[in-house]
Amino acid sequence: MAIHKILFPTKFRELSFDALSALLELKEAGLEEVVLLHVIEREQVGFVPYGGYLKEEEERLRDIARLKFEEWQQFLERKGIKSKFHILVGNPVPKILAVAEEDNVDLIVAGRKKRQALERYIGSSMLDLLQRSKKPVLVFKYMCYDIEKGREFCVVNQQLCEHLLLATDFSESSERAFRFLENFKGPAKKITLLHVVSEDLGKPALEKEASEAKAKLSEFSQKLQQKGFTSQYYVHIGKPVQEILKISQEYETNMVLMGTTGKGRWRALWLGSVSQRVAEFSHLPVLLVP
Amino acid sequence: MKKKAMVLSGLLVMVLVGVAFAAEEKSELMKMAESLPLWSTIPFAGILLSIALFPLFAPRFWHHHFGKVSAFWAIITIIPMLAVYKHAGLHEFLHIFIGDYFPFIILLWGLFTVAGNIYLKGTLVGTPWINTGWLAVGTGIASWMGTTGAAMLMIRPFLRANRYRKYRTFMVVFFIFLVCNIGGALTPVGDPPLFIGFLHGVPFFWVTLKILPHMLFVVGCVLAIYFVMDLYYYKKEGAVFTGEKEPLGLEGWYNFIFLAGIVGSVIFSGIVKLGEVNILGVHRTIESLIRDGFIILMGILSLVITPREVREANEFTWFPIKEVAYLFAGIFAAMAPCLLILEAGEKGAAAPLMRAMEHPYHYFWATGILSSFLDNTPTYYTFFTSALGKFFTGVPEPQAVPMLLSQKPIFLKAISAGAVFFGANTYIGNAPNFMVRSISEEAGTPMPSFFGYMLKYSCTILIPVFILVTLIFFH
Repeated sequence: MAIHKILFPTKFRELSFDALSALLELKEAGLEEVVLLHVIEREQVGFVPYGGYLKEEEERLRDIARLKFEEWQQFLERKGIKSKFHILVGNPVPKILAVAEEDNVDLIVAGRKKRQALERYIGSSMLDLLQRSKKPVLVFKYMCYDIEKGREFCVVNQQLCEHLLLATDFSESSERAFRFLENFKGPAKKITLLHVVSEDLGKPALEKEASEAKAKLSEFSQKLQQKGFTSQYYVHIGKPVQEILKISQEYETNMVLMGTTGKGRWRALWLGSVSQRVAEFSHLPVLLVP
Repeated sequence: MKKKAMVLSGLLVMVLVGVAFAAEEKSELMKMAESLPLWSTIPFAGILLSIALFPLFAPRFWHHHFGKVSAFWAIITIIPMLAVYKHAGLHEFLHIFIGDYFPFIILLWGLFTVAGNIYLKGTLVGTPWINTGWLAVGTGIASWMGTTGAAMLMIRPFLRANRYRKYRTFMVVFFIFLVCNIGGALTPVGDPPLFIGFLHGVPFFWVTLKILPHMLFVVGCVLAIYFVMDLYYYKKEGAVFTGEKEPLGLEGWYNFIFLAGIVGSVIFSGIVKLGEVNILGVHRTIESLIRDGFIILMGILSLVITPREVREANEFTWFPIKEVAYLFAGIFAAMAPCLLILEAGEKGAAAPLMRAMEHPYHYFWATGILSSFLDNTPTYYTFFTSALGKFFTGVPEPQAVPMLLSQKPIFLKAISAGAVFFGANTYIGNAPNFMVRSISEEAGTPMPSFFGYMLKYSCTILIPVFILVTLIFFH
């Protein structure tokens, strides 16, 4: 697994271009090509009540997207990155998944709408994408607003890779996320490893799990150091989502990496998954490896 | 014994009070119907003209603001009616929404959802025989899964089958004629106007038995014309299919069970009598509530059981059904004064119209022409009410409908056939017409303009067939 080619779907919302620019940090991780994608939602042009299809409107939206993409392509070319673009009509998530497969990209970068305080960072389409993607997905938040102790503040994520946090539950997907870390050998200076032991466990089980986790993390950390990373590890007790969010901020990390277990749609809807909830609530970019 | 007598007399008092209230309510409604001026139908005309004209002249505005336009016409109907007629006005709107609108939307939603979960995959090769057969099958199933459901199921494979053909616009037009309209003539599930008739007491299989000859005649004529045209263009083009052939397959086939459940629940509600409940002063039968609940259950089960990928392969979206729900909320509200005037018969403001409508062919053509340009559901309802008002003025609807069926059935046949068949005359005659147009244009099959469709196809093909129907069945 390497990050040579990324898929960047966009709705041309505010800060989309800034997000794309920030992603160029991945060039150090091997990035060679960006596939740009804009999906015109069918509702924007089709099924006009008792009318039909707005062909001219589709052409207009295509022209707007084409002009923007051509501008972005010039920028990418100047930075030494190859690019191509698709403008499609349909439902966004299936189209994104289809293009990701057809173009065989290594990573899907999904942006988010500008978030107001107290709103969740990602919507239902993004959750759908996270649940269904067979490719790693980077939920990239260029700028976030939040409220803490009654005060609104803004976070700008200009730096992506310098300090990475890998939250692991030692599952197979976490193993894959660990292996994915190797892609960041160039740009990443430091890697923090974290395992959260659930506070719901009884004391003997909790101590046993904590000590086993420490041993495993130590092993992981040594492997990373052998590969040239600076690494540290922590085992925390508490609720996984809250602990991961807290540690990611306290240790000033730039991005959170996690594996996803690919829960079914209904299970995910009712129970949520730790990785998706971290992606939902974190200020930082979150990279989920299926 | 004393206690028993008290209970019985109490019950008697309750019944008498109920009857008196109902009678008062009825007479209030009749008074309102007789006093309503003709101009109170302006909002109804306004919303129907909006549906007809905005998509033509301001499609982008309409696409983004149709909900507001619909709400506008509804509000300017409701507020004056409530201000002038107070309780009677409120009762009328509640009656329209609880008794007609919600069951209507629930049925459409159920059929749309379940049909959207069936995906017909694979490649047909669009030869004249295959295409004619395809249209015949679509026409045949439309009465049992709704014209919208049948159209959504069959249009994409039909377009794929004919992608290699040069002339394919006429094929989609015939698809609209047959699958989106004429095919729905045989059951209340087939086409929304017939469901409105069913809600008002027309038995489920009445249309099946009574409209079958008309429908077979029209389908026979239109399919024969189609076959000749397709054969002509097929030979002229000399096109040869070169693509890759994928075997045919049906994903989500088990949704036919849910469709059967929906049809069964509609039939059930027409056969079983379980009593009534009062919802906000509106009487609804228990069997109709069971039917609505069951349709919702079928839709939910269909959504839960069918993999999302099936809907995605169908390019399924909720948008069209949402549009229909918003627009019809406005139509049903704006229609209220119009229906009341027609119910008043020759005592109401539409007396001259009532007197002029004498023969079945008047009803066939009047319902038909209006159904061509206005949605056929409100048009059917308007003329259905008008026939009841004309022939059985003042008779309550539950008694008037069986009388119409037994004494003047040809008038209801004319209204039913007119509403269903003429919906094919324009893009705005019936909801699936515009959905099929949209899907075809998106898939790269050019479609004629609004007037092009009428002049080139409806006027030259359908109108002569309808003249023959008039001469054979309604003269």
